[in-house]
Amino acid sequence: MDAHLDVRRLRKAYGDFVALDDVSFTAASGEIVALLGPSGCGKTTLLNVIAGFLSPDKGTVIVDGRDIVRVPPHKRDMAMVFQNYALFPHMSVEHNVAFGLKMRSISSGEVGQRVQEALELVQLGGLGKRYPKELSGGQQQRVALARALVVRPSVLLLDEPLSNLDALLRKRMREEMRQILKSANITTVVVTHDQEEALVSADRIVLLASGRVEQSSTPNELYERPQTIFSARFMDVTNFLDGTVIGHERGNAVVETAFGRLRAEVEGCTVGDRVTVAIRPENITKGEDAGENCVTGEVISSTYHGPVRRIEIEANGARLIADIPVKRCLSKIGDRLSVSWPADDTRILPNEEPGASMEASAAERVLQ
Amino acid sequence: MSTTVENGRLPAAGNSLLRLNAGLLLVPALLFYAALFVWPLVLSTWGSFAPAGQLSLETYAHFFGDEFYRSVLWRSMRISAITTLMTLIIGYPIAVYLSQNWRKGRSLVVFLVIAPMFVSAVVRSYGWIIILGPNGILSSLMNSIGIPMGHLLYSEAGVIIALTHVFLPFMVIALVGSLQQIDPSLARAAQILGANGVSVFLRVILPLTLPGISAGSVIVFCLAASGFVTPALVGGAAVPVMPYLVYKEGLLVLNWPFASAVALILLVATALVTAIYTFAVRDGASKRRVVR
Amino acid sequence: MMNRVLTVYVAIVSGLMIFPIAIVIVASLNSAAYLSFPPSGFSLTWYQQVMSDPIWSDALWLTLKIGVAVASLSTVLGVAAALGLRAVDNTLSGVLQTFFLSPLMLPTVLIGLALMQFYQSLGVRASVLTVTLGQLLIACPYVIRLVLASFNGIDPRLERAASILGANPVRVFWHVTFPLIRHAVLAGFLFSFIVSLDDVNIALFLSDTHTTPLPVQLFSYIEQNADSLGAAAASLLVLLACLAVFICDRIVGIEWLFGAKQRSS
Repeated sequence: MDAHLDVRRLRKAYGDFVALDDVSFTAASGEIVALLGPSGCGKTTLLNVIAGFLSPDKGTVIVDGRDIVRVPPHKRDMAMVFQNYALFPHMSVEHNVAFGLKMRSISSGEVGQRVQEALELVQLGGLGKRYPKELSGGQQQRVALARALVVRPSVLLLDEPLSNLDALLRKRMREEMRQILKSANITTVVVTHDQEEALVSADRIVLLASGRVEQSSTPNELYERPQTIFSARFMDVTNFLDGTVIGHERGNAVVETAFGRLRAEVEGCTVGDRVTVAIRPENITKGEDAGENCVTGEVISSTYHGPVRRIEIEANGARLIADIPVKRCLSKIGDRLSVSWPADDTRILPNEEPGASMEASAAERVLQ
Repeated sequence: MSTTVENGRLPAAGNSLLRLNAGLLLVPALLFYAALFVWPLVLSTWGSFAPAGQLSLETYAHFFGDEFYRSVLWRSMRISAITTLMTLIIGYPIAVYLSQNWRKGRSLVVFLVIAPMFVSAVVRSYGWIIILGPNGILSSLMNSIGIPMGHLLYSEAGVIIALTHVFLPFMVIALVGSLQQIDPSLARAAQILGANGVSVFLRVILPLTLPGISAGSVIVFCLAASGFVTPALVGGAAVPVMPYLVYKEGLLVLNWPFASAVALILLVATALVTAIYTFAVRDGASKRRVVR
Repeated sequence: MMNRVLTVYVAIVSGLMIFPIAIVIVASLNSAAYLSFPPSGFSLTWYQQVMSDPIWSDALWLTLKIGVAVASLSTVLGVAAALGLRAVDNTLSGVLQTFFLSPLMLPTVLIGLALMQFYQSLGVRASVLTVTLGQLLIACPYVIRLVLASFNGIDPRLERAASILGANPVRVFWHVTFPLIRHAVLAGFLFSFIVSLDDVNIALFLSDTHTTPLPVQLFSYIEQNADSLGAAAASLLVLLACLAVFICDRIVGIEWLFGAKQRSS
């Protein structure tokens, strides 16, 4: 399919600090793409380049076949929702929403009508005459969204649109926002640091780290099949084991690890490869018959997390973290416990550096 | 008032004895103000209403009844208003520059524009005398280009130029304060919605600086109206303003009741103009509070 | 492009701002007595004359004495008043603040005139004291405003911490509060000095032939003459002001002085 938004090989550096390093991604018409990553990864810089507030050192931005990298922001036919909403405090809600239309010299009759429609779309129909300071955070966010949608931009940019809302409101707004965006059918780029938000709102996620694209795939793929240790760690994978591929067997790869031989999903790895084995804690079950892989060890920590208990097992000098449903879990520290999980839930990731995987899982433990 | 101490309060849970003791620290200043500020003012005001010991309005009648004196009042107000306008027009771009270039090169500009504030008005007025005088730089320059020109010394225009110079820093400071409070993402929001540079300025920046414009205008107007040295030196007797009248009647003619009346009229007139202006602007001001 | 236009504009205006002051200094160095452009020659005679002529040197000396007196007194009174304002409740504090700042809202000639009448009616002659007390009224408000603003930056918990550790109120002030406000205090001191240095409106009414501060002397002189001697005297005033500003910048940074000039919004 033709890319509506095509970002090519962007590079942006500030002295020695490289904010964007050869970043490329595309978005199809009507697609919602999330730029996800930890703070400092360059996602906001990337958004500002697309908007035209920053010029890249190299690379270009193409919209609908037109190279716009030299076009100033007010001529790009885009719209942006800012993290702090940036509502004009001296204008009423109506005038805020109408601003972009006025800039496009649309007749006042049509302006009034479209403003009303936009406000109703975000469920703020009766609040047109109010001023931003009289609205709640959630309402201000919707006004900002309405202001951006009403101009029917060719590309819509959202900079952490929900991060200023409290947790409960954020959860509610996520799904609502996706619905509104999908019904508007505008090519959208959303910047967020919240992986759950990206999973819920986006059609595709571009994961960034240190100015580079770490992985670009659908939410499902990113979650189930992270391609690097970084991606896996960002998506809450907690178990990383060093290993060597010693064979293929019945459609599974066999990897020699500290826990003995584990069977994993074949990922195009060859015998002899040094790899990192990654397992999600929620995929590990108590007992010995939950899958091809089984580990028995001593429980060294047990933390209550609401629906699950997070158990840490030590065996052969290596540790495994499993999330066991509370009702099924009666283990105490010092008990011996057997856990198992299927080969299908065992991923193989490239081994980036010796000990990298050990560092990754050690870091996970510290952060718990 | 923003200078009202709110965050800086003493720990409220402190005992009342502590607060009483600290409150006593106010006494010296209060006594001083009462004895050497309020009381002399009261005496002076009384003097203007009782020139011969009995209550009467004759000093005020004398003032308002005479066309010359009325013209002086009008001149003071007029000069102050024009000066205010000039400082606003000339100062606004400076303020914009200072608020944007907060790091690079601003120190020099700040110094050049603000430092004159700390030099006595006498010195600055003298400078303008030199520039505007009959053999002054301006005349010499104009004559050498071939534009014959009288000199601006002892003219209202000269006084306005000098006053604008003296009070420009005050307006710039007020404006910079206001400009710096504007959320930078507002300009970007307007840009991405299609506003070009001019639109962003006229529709977003300018309206949001109205509090600063208003504050600066009040300050400059009041200072210009009460300024004595500059009109006295640059304008002299040819451009009499209210403070000059106070000086003449108070120190030269020694007609104190009348001098007091003139001073009080100046105070009331300035306060009136300020109040009218402030109320006119205050209307839309409440809606312009920056939203965070 | 707009940026370049703006930069040029700012450069021109900045130049014009400093120009009148610079021109006075240039005139003071002119070897000719009368003002002439271009200057006839370079000479420091006028400075020599100013320093040796008792009319001028007495005035200079007097200005310095008064300046230091005003700075010291206004700092003491002002800091005390600010501390007191902090201790009383909000409404009273607001009212008193307005009261203390009120001299700045009146025409200074009114203050000068009223004080002159007051002293004359009591038979008090002009002196360093009368001028000082007059100028105090327009210096104190700045000190109060600066110190109050600096209070806002203090975390009240710091004083509570000192208190709970056993410090009585005086020691809390000395060990905790004062170090935190000392920049404001110093800025207030220097600012008061500059205010006193520059004032003419009040000093004019409170001077006589024996008590004439330099700005007043200069004012009278310039009213009659416009020559290089006057320029030299004027330049001395500029020098003093620059010195005060320079000292302030070295010790606390020049931003404090700007803070003093800001009105409440």
